[in-house]
Amino acid sequence: MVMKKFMNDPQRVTNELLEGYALCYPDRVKLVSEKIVVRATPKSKDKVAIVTLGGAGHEPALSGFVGEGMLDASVVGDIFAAPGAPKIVEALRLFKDNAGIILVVLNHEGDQRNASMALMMAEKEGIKVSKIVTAEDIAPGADAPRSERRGLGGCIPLIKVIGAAAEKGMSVDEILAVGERFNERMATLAVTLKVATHPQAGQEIGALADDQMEIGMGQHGEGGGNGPELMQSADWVAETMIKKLLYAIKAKAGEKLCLIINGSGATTLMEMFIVFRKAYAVAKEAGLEIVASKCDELLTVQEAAGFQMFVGIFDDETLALYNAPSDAPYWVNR
Amino acid sequence: MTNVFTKELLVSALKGALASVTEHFDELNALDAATGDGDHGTAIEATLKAALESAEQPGSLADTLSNVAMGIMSATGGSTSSLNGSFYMGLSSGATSDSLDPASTVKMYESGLAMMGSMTNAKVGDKTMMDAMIPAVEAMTTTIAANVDASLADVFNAAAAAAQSGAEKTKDYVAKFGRARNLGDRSRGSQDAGATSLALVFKAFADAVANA
Repeated sequence: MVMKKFMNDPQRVTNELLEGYALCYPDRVKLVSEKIVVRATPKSKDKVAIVTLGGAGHEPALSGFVGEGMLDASVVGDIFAAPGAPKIVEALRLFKDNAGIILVVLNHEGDQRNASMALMMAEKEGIKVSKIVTAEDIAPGADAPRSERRGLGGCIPLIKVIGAAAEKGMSVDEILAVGERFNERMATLAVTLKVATHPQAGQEIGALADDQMEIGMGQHGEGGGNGPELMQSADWVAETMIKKLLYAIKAKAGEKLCLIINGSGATTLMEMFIVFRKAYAVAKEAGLEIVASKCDELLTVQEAAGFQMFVGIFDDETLALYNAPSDAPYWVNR
Repeated sequence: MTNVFTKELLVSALKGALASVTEHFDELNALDAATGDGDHGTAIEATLKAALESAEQPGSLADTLSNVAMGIMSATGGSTSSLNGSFYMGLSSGATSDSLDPASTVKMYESGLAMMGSMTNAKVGDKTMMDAMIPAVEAMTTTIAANVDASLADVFNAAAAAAQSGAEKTKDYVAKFGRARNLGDRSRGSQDAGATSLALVFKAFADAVANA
């Protein structure tokens, strides 16, 4: 099928989408140096800065979460590709006089490698940066080592938690501790019904027949190991996924749960709510207290159909941080 | 035919490599789409354009290679950006003069490969660009070890042949790194795009040596 997208020059899509985004929310974000999104009003220097990086094409992730109570900056690469190390260093330099810098890195080959190179380069300049890596995809198996798991949409609730911690004036070590506590108890699983088209190459990424779905497919259409299977009902998919997720995070009755259905781009809110309904029921039956929930598009994959189901266990502190005020264009808490 | 590695050789080789990758642009994107996100042709073309632009600026060979590394990492992103950048950073620290004889050229490439090793754990058989890179540099080392009088052409011809055969072998491998890894056994059967483009680059360097 011929690609149908509202675009101009394919090589300029990232620049143009970021320009449009910054123009749309000028009170909260601005664009510097073409590919770095920062807050319109920077936070005070005595607080720790939270920075992330990642490819474009996943809007509103990750730049949609730059704003008070969440990110200080998002360094954007080209479509589905991590930014180069020099651009990351440029962003880190903006916060060299802050109380510290924490770089949130999703576990993908390119993100990790460019972040490592950037950290090496920043260190040479005397800029100290700590790193927190998200790797919560359970597609490779609940007990697969973190190095083999991808970072999916779970980085966003994590950013909500550590962003609030930074806003409160907590130190780098304190933020890392609270972040890792949430990181340890979160998991995501994705399901895809229809793959995305790469907006620059014009090719479909991966392949799924009309009657197939794939649980575990990553956020670029890469396979999840189990391969495609026949399409099933919303209840079947929701129940299968939430059970795997709760098992993976060792959820115990009485614990406080965050449950998010994140649409991949072409899946309707109607479907997300239907899926959420069943996932909620299963989690409740398992004795969990669902204290935070969302059905929304946080991290998309172009026009892929499907969703990511996210679960996370809160303690009192992480829950309070999750519920703290934020004012990013795509996550406003009052 | 030249027997020394210079900045001029670097520039003409990068020109040839860019032309070759542009010629195989669609093929590289298609190879990548089989297991990745279908943009390797786009990425490697951008890499070589940035490399060439930086190489054409004035400076010693070592400075030029370092500028090439920064140029690549500034212009590109994704998983290849810092890998290619680290390779040229390694070449730069191995470039002991502005005119390298075959043995010193091999040493420079060994330094490039070593620097890449700090960025990736991928080995031969993991279905990545390292399947072309590692055998190519090893072939250079073997060539000069077997014959101290080996010419620069011998060294680069051996590298190009090893890179080409290394790239072809990736068809039989299961991906262990990158996004293709998640496909498991289903990644078998297609040739790795990164190894394929790197074989084109080594071939272009061999041609540049022959034509200089």
